[in-house]
Amino acid sequence: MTPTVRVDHLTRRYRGQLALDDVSCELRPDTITGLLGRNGAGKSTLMKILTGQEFPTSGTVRVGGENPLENDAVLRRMMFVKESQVYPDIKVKRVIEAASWFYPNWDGELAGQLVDDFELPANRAVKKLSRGMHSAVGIVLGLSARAEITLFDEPYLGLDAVARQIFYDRLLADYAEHPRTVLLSTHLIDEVADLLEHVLVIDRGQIVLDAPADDLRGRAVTVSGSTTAVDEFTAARKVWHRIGIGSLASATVAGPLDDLARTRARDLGLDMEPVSLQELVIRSARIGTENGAGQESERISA
Amino acid sequence: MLDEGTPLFLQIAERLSSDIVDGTLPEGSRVPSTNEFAAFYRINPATAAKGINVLVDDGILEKRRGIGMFVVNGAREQLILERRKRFAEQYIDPMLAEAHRLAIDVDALVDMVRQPANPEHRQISYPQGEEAS
Amino acid sequence: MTSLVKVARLHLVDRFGYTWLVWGVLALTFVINLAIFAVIPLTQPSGNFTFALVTIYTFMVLIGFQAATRFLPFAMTLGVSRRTYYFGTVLLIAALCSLYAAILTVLWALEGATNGWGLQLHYFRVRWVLDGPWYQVFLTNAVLLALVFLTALWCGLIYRRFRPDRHGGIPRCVVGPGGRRGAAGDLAAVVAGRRQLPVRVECACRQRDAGTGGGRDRRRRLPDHPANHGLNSSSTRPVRSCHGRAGRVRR
Repeated sequence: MTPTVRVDHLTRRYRGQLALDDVSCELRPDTITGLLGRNGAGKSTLMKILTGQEFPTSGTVRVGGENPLENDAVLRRMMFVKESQVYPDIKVKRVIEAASWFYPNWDGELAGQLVDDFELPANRAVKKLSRGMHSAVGIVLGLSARAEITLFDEPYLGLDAVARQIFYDRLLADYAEHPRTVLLSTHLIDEVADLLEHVLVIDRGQIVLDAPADDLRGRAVTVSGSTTAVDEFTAARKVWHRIGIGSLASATVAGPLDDLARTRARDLGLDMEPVSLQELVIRSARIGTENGAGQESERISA
Repeated sequence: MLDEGTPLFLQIAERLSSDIVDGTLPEGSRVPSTNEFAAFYRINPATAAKGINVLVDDGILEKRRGIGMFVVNGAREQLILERRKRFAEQYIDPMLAEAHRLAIDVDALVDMVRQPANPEHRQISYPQGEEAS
Repeated sequence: MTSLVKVARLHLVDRFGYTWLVWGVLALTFVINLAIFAVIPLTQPSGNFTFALVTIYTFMVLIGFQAATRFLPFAMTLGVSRRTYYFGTVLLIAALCSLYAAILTVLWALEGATNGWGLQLHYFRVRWVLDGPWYQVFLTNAVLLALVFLTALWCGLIYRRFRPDRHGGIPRCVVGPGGRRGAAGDLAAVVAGRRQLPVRVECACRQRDAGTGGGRDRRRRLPDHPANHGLNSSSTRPVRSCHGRAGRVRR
């Protein structure tokens, strides 16, 4: 039974900066959740606190009801792959060997296959690897461990698009066979948009969006066309964003549009385009910084 | 790849329905598993499962324990009927709107339907209603 | 395999360093010493004294430091708590230092029996330190090796704690609680088995919370936090300083 991860009013203050500000969320068991946000938003801090590597200033984290801090029983079921992972000065194959002792679900065959997929030189010292291969080692560990709660903090740094796709494919394939809770933090939202079941957006230490991925698709629609048509269409609607150039305009409104609205838009000669997940995240994060995060999450969920 | 507007699982259901209607997935045949779908479309297996479940709920697919998902007999008929209902809204309405914009009157429109430019589409203009394949 | 043993094994996963490297270097310096003292006349009336055994101690410094800077973060990624890691490492050190001390004692005895390898070389019989009975030699070696390792480990922890952020401003993973307790406090806290660590003490001059406040009176209230109950009594010792030094919190 995969444990649920609950975060309640988590705050983390560091050298006067507020890295996390009253964060509360829940990682549903056996789902892939995306943790999205800008650099410095607090993604890494949150993940480190979840795995007991950093200490909260206040608030609680509970994994299956227990605090993961210094808790071997809980930590054994978790795996955290960071982009800046430090390894001892040993060979790749030794790193993999060592990791295999700590995880009861470890799959050596998968590890071997991944090493081949990423073309990792098993006999080279980890510190001599390129940035991309260094990341690949982390991915090999993260996937082969089959830990019930696996956290990836931008694990693909330095990996080219092909290698990234290998990672997504292997993650999906293995996740399908062996479901687990996955928290994937990333900038490359469009690439992973289809993998995610749930989305958490964090900005300036606050959660600005916490919703199932399916709900977010089509949550905003951009209508574009002549300025008059756009204005007519958006007259009675809440507009999140509007730009105009000459006699053309484009406005983002709340979706999904019902049939009536669609017909109307079509009659007015407007183009309708759903806002992609990436755009949605960018908007919620950006507007979060302009107006205060609370306001934006209210707007997005309206 | 997959469009952004509708939820993914609905798109999966749509895709499967289209395959059943055009005969790619004949009645009684086995549908790929959720994991196979997920791997093929590179999406989350839970999403794929949701999409398949939509069709199971609608009676298009059935689960045979231990073997997999199969297309129900009569599913194609059912889907065709449903799609016919939506046909007007999905295709006719936009066409009429555009025709209106371009000041094409009904007679001209009907002529275009009777004598379509693309010869493949001439079949529909035969009154017998031959099944489009 | 219990977690402690796993941690010990983790250190030894690349056995080369602990076997061939350390003993190889030691053997090399030994041979060099032999060669030198074979050709030069007696340096002192009582024998040829050399402190080349320091090689093995240097090695302990290196692995001790690395144990904090490299093995610890790796172990934490693999789901090992700090406490388990420290205890497992101590277990390893106990075993390793005993083994090394045993070998050194045997060599010490051999040296004694052969009168300094025929050259009155005091390589393993280090003057003033390792020239008592065999059990004293064994103990001294074992304890000294372990101490050197632990000191280096400590230094490694402090280094991790106080070195500049790699990402410039964004908090990096720290070994102990973010704040000013310092590595010593962390180590003690973890060994004592503290699960709920008290909220770190905020610098008085920056503190915005209500309370006695003010920069003059350093003895002030800790922020309201469940873990701090009982700590706001008058017997709380004052914090040493504001900026970047280890604060002491009475527990």
